[in-house]
Amino acid sequence: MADANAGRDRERAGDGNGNRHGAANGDAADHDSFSELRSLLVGPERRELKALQAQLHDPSIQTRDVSRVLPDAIALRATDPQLTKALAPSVESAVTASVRKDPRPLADALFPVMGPAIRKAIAHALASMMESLNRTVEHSVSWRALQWRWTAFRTGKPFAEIVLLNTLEYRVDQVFLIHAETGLLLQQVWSDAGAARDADQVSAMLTAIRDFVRDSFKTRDGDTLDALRVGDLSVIVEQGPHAMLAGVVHGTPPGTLQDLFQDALERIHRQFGEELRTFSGDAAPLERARPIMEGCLVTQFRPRQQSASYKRWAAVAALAVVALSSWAFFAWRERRHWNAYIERLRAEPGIVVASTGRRGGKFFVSGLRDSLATDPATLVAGVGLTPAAVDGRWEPYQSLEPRFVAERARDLLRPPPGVTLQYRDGVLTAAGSAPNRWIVESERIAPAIAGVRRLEYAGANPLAQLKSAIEGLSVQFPKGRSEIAPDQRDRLRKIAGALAELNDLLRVENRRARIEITGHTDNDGTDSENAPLSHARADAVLALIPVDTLDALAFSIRGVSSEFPLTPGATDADKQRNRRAAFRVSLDDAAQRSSQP
Amino acid sequence: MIQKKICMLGGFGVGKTSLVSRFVHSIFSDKYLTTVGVKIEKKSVKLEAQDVDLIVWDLHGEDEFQKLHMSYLRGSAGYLLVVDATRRATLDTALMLHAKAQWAIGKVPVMLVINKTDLESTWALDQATIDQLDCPVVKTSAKTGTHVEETFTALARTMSAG
Repeated sequence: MADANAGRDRERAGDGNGNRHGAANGDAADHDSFSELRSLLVGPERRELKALQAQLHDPSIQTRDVSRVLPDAIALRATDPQLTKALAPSVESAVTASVRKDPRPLADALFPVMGPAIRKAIAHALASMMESLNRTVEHSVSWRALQWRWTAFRTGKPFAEIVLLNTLEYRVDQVFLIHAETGLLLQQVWSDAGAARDADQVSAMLTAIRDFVRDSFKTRDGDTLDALRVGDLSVIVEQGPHAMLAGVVHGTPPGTLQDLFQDALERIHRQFGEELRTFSGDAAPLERARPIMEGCLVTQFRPRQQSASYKRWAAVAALAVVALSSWAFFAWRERRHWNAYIERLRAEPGIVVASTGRRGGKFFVSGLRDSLATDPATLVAGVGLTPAAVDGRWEPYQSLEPRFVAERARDLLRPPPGVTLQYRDGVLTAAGSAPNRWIVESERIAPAIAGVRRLEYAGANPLAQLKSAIEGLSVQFPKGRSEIAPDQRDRLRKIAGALAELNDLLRVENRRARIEITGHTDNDGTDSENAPLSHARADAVLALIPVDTLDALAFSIRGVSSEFPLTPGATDADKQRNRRAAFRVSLDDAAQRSSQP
Repeated sequence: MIQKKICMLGGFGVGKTSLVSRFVHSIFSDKYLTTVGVKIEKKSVKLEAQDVDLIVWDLHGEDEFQKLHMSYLRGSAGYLLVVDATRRATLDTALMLHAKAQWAIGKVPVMLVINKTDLESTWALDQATIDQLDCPVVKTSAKTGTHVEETFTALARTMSAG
């Protein structure tokens, strides 16, 4: 502006009718005055004008000024989509550049958001996997699964397809976002079942079918195709002003699914209305609608009919557990009883356990058993076992248990009443009053009993007793005579009986003895008279003894006159006692016995 | 990737389906033409700037038995009018369809395809008639494939430019 004023001043200065030089001095004076006047009048404004000009051409000042109002300006236009649209490319570029330069700051900033989102996604995936796993396991082992496997085998279809057909309520396999006017495919999402081949042609055909139905049946305004169904497959269509959302559904979709699609389509229109309105073939801006569409990929399985089945299986499993526990308990208890039984058997005298085990569902034990030992079958009940559960095989043998030896000795020797038998260290001891014959016979038999070396009698020796008894007997004679008086016949029979008993004992022991009968007289008369008399008296006694039956005895006689009187013989009574026939017993010793034939 | 919807229009038997069957990909059989009245096909063309997927709506030829579903034209970025060079009446049909299309979707890129150039000796169209038409004209042969590829490329280029 200063230049313009200067120009105008120059024009005014050059204005005139050719007398320029003469007026030059006067004009200069006027100019100075005018400049001074102008300085006085507009000086401050001119300085402000210069400052404003400098500010306009200084970027740093402009930046500072804009920075003062920028936050308020953005806040004021926060809801303006034009501002969002204008800022989006710059923000995207800035974020991209930042990530390329160093992704850490953005990762740190997003961490609080991404962490829960990732956890939620993983939890959802795990839940789906567990659901799938549960169903797989269920459908692998159930009776129904066997039927389905048979169906798959019969029809040639994959087992998974048969399972799906029987368990799936519905599943949204694919979702298409289709431009309403052109029928062009804007976006497509799909589940694990896989994407449709040539989805762009499918969406165009869907649009054509929609139009075909509308044209053919002249529907009312606003009415449109909202579902197709072929067999187990359905296509649900939700129509919007600029786009339609079509879902391919396997199974029977509920009415609520249409609501889900409607809600998703409304959100898409709300968030991407401008992109839909201005769509001209490039679907890239609508990729951000995919998460909304993925929310429509829902799967619903039929309510599990397995609850009853599950309970049935659970009951069966519980019963199995109870049965198994009971079986284990009873098996453990039976085993404990069995071990106790074996211990009892091992501790039982006269029983030797050789082997144990199980055979044919029963316990088995074998070994040796003394006939006098306790019957093993009677021990079974005592430990809680049933006799039928035990199979015992016992071979007979003779135990050297002292009480068994003593009992066997009693059975064999049959001791008379009052006689007891005891066994210890190979010696059988008899105590009490016993007949000589029993004692002698028992001494002979006892070594034949297993474990018995000899029998010892606790009283006097019977042979010695008998010898003493015989030698204490004598036959009395009248004076001067050698005939047996009648009153002596009882004594003589007693003597004969003792000799017979001695003979029996000797025969039992296979021994022999010599019996010497000695005749005696009193001291009256002479030796020549008494000697033959004494011999005759001995002979008379011998004559009355049945020597033929006493084969273990050898008899001899002799007369000793009055040489060995019992008494001095001063009185008649003494003389009477001296007139006698006496006996002397000489037993052979064992060596002599064994040498005799 | 840019997508564009185009339509194939023409009288019955002019060779619309034959024209494109060697050059397009379709997952649908021809029976859709006689049932729904349209068969969807896809043709990818390479332009200098970018590739374009043409979703081709091959519409059933209008005749005394079946009328054209005008709603099929909606959203079309362009269309091909196909004429059988050996039958003069097919040109009239094409012009009638052209008028209908313009009424339905307004002015969009269009090309007149005069098919069966391999039967030039039996042509029923004279050059003067062809020259009077107010749209680009291309002569093709579905039998030999002559100029078919170029036709789609040209239409795609026109649509992208518009």
